[in-house]
Amino acid sequence: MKEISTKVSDLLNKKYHIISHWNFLEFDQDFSILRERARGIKKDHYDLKDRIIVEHMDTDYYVKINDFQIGINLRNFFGVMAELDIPHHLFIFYTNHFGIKKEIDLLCENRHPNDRPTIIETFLSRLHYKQESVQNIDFNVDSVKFNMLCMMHLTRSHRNAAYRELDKIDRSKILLSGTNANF
Amino acid sequence: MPIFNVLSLDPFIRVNDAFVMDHSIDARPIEFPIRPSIIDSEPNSKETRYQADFYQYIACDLVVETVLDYPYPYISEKTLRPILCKRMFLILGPVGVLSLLRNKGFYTFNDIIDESYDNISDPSDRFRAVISEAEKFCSRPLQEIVQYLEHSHSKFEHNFYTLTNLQELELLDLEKSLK
Repeated sequence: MKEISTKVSDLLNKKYHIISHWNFLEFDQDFSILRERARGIKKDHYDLKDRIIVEHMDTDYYVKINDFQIGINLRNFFGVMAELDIPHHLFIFYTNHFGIKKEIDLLCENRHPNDRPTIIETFLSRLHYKQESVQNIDFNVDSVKFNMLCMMHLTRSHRNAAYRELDKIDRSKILLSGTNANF
Repeated sequence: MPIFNVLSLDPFIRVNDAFVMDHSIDARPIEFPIRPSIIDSEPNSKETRYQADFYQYIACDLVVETVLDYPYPYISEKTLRPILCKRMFLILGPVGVLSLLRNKGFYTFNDIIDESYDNISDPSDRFRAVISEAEKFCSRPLQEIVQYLEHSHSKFEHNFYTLTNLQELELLDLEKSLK
């Protein structure tokens, strides 16, 4: 599923010639997939308006490099692109990583300032928000019975920890819910 | 150009959980599923992903975001859900989430919740601060909270309006920046 909103996609297609559309979810478990896809768009020269949309909306995993946190997947991405000598200005990053430019600047520090990706930051991906599914419900407090609700879906350490703490609160005050999905 | 050495994800899968490694926070696995009868569907089903009827019964959603120990504010449908349901929120997530929301035009609720947790960079300390605020909020009389909700009605309408208009605003900004 494409996570980019239709309107943003339409705008980019109007402005640029989109030669490919990638999503980190397609290759972040196996970067040989990315390598193959990048080989598929490798050319001796690109048209001025050629661009590749890269959706990066899922979590990355961080290690400290030179006292700076770098996402492993992002590092791998630019490593593969450098290996194949793909110009970096081709990429339009569509991401919910607000502040990722710092990382990209570090990973691209040896590239010309004009050979950097375009970055579009938003938390309104199709996965996280669908305008057409939203209804303008009436504001009503007549039915409020609980101070708080806490729902947890995928099992993660901070959710386990939160549940253990919140479980001590009177259940007439808080609604706690969790499903059994694991890592 | 030599072949780039791709780092494998497996050894790092728990890197973002480093905050629990000192064992000062009990993060042992929980026996899920746990679901009160009032929540009549899966928390993340197609029907409840963005809005759910059972929000009418609650005043505040303690959002446990996808990540806690993370270098960026990370906002998913979990944070957007209470906004779309016109309810308050407290967010257990990365540092700066509330700040990002405010920058996008949303109200947060610092007149009833101490939101200084949003500025705490240490994830363990931030975790404790959020849990402490949840405990304090749950110790308040329900009537007092309902009065607060009624008094703050316009904020909830504003937040809903801001979210449902954000896509158009971002599109306009993008159009300008690409010119």
